[in-house]
Amino acid sequence: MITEELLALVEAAGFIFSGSAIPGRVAEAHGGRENAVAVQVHQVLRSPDVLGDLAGTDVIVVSERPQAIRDGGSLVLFTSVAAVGDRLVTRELEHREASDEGIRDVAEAVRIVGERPLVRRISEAELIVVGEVVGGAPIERRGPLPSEHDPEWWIARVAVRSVVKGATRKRTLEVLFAHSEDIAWYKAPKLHEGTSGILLLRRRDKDEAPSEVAETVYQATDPLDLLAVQRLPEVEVIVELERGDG
Amino acid sequence: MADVVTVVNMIPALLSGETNQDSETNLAVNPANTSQIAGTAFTPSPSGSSSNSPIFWSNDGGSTWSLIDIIPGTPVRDQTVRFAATTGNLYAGVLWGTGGNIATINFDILRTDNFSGLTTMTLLAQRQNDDQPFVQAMTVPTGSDAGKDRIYVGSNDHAPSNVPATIDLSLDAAAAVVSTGKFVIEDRTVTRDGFPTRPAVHPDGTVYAIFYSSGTLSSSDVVIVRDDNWASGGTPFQALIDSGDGKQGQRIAQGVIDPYNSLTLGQQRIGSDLSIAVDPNDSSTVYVSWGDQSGGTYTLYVSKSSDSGATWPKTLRAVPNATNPALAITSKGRLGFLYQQVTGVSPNQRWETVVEVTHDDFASSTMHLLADTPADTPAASFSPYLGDYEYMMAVGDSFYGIFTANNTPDAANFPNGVSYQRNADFATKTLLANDDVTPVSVSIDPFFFKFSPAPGRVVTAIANSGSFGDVCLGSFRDEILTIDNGGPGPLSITDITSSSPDFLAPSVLSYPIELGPGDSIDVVIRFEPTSFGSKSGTIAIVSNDPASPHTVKVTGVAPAPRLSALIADRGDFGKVCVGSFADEPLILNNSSRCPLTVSAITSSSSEFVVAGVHAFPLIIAPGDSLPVPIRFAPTSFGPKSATITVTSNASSPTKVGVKGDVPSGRLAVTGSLCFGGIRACCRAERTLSICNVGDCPLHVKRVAFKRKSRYWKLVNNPFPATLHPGSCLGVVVRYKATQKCPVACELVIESDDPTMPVKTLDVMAYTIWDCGCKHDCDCRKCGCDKCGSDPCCCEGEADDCCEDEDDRE
Repeated sequence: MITEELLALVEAAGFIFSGSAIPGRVAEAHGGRENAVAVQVHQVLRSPDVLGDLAGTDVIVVSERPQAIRDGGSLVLFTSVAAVGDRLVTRELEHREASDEGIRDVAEAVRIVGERPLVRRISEAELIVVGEVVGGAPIERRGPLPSEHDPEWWIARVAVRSVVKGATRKRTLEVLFAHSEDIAWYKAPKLHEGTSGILLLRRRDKDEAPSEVAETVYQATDPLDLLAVQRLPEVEVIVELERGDG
Repeated sequence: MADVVTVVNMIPALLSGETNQDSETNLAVNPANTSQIAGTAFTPSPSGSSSNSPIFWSNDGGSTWSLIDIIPGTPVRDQTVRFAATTGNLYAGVLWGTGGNIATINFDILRTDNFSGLTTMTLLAQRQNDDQPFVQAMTVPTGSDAGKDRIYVGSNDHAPSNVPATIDLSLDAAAAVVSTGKFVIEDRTVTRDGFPTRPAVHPDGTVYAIFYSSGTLSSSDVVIVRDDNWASGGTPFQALIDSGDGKQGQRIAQGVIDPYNSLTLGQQRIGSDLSIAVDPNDSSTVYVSWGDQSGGTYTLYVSKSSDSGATWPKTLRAVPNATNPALAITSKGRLGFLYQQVTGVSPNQRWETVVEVTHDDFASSTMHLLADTPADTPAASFSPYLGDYEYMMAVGDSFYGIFTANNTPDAANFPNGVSYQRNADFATKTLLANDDVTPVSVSIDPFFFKFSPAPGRVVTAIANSGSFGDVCLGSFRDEILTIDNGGPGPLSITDITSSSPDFLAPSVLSYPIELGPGDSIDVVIRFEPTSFGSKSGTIAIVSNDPASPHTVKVTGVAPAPRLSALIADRGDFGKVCVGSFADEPLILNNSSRCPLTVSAITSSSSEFVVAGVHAFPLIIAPGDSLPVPIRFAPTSFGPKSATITVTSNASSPTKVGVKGDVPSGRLAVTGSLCFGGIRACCRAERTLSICNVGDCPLHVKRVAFKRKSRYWKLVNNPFPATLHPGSCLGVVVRYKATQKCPVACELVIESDDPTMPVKTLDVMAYTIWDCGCKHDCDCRKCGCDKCGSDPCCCEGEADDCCEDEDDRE
């Protein structure tokens, strides 16, 4: 069963897998700590993409209850990655029995958690439109870049093709976005002329945007604020669900 | 001086699939334990949902790396790390957070000494509104604050409107509760200060900081400030007052054009480069590098002050189209200058990552090309492409640093070599994922590098392959061991030891012994054996030769002396009489090569006497002989034997058997003692010969009648007497014929003839009482012509007798 507790656990654990302790194997990594257990990975349930599929490999799990892992047989381990070198060292948050139902629940929780940022973003959006950028210009800056991490604000003019959430009578919206390719902003949507897609918009953040930016201007700075138009059905479902919950 | 260069791609093997642009690198080496190294880059946490951010970590001197999630915050922007000098504490200055308002971005100062990845760094201080925190750390070496960590974090403070250069510092950063202070070091009226503020700390408490002071946006000054006492005062960094405008901080260069990110080289934004290094041996010597576009071409410059920053006579080095300078000075005074220079023309531009090493302020220098990589690929994911800075530092005489570059596994891109942990096929120049099969796109990776002076190499020579030959105990032989530096770098010898007490290593007044390339030194190895036998040992030379210790086998022999004992006739002294003696020499010969020491010569019998020796030991040189008289002086008869024992430093006591025979005298008696009848009152004599027919003197102690008698008498008895072998003495036995009746008598001869110590002889005689003289003595009746005085005897034949023995008695 998917519970909020399970969802919170999945959200906190960056590396979730089923596995069992390797009998007689001393976790010599990490200084031979007594609370470190060598565990063979049977199935990866959640992992950063960069680690690839670690099924069949050994990982070190540091736990406050190492004996429970050693004695527990096949378990689902909820862990966070502590160190990545020639082997993975993880910190256990919790473990559960690795039943088929339990694994299915975890997989479903991983899927739900994976969708949460988008669900959250859609929920926080005041206006969701399908549109195309038809123009834009930088906000004039007084003086040099305050720092290399300055967002380099631009305002894009977006032609609205359809409204998915919220309401607007305007055919063209002004949207504030970060033009900067700096490490702090490169993932933020770049609403250059010709860009089209699904825009998740909020009113401009007055703590963030320059004061000269009008309150009517929307803002799209989160990487999820611009989605490919192919994801429209997905977005519509989420909006519908939100509407139903509301 | 040759250096050993090591370049390592820092991406761990388990992240072989990563394609992140891991730019903007910084490095910290623990000076107290150079196997511990931390690095930073724009590398995301390997834990997808982590609220922490990672650093790179090595605990084997940079050969291998892992990512550990210990920065408490994400996403991280600028970050720098630094170890204190001796405490093992790692400090960090980190920007993290999201959003476009710098006032909401956290500027954290962090600390840790736990690199397991299980514990995040401890937050020491936090504020917002800051940019490019750049940390330096030092441990106070002496004085009342010895042992305290001091940290200095340069930054660009956005709180004041003029965005000044600022130093955040703590004078006791290792304390349980840390207090920090913030000091603006910009004293001039400026539009703003440049992005970077770079501090530098010397162990003597001198603290420098440099920054761009932009009076106008098109003209900046490079300014240096200084504090001479750890910036511990209430208004620190006032030690340098500009000679021109009288303001805090000396202007090193004026009218500099700081591009403020308006310039791009390759795909790299250029937004103000600065670096500073202080000579660890002299805090008044300081080098600075900055970038300037005022000449048209953006150029990095290096200048030097020898008076604590007061004056900067000239530019020492200028490198065009370069960025990310990093300066460091080693303990031997070598200056290292790291930079990245773009060469060529797009689309074929390349980034050359270079370290120049000089000992003479660039009058001459050695240029090491660490990486020569494409500048146009991969396409930039974000800015900065390589990073707004990279870093290099010195520990001892080694340089340690970090840079970013295109990670194509192409050996040609890394002229000094490179090693990869992530899966890489250099033959096909392809990165591979964790499965070692799936190709991975090229990206930007962080690379660690290290320059170590090429070590010396121990080469040794010793005569005869280290064989010292035979050396006698108590003596010694020296051989020369030549130690040569056959390597390209200096050889530092820290110890020479011997594994055996028989082989003595040289006494060295003080280590280290320094040898330049090609130099040599002779040391004496002494073989002084402490016991007999074959000896061997190993001489170990401990040095900075990577193959240290170098060993030399030595051997020798301490031969045991050999005693040969000779005596004539197998020690048979022959026949020697009691009271006499015979001497024979016992020849002691030293038939070995070493002195023979005789400590005692004893005899098992008092009849075989060893010559007295005033004092032992007796020393017999090799090949020499010593005759030792042995005297056979028997005290009793019979065969004799004994053992002469010679105790020496030969392997075991030498025993020599001696013997002799002690014959006795032998009594022989000749002559008759049967007188027969003797006319009364007459005398008769017989002579008995008592002879010694033995080999030795016969001592005849007594010749006498067993009983006293009137009738028997020994005339002029010569005994007792000693009869030499073969000699005789006669004894006259006289009978006076006056016995009435014949009585037997015995003559006893006592001698030391052991076979016959007492010989008894019967003497026989009787008186002839014819002629009627028995009662009436008329000698004429007995036929005498004349009577003697005794009428019974003829004149001349008798003496007064005619007494009956019984009467007399």
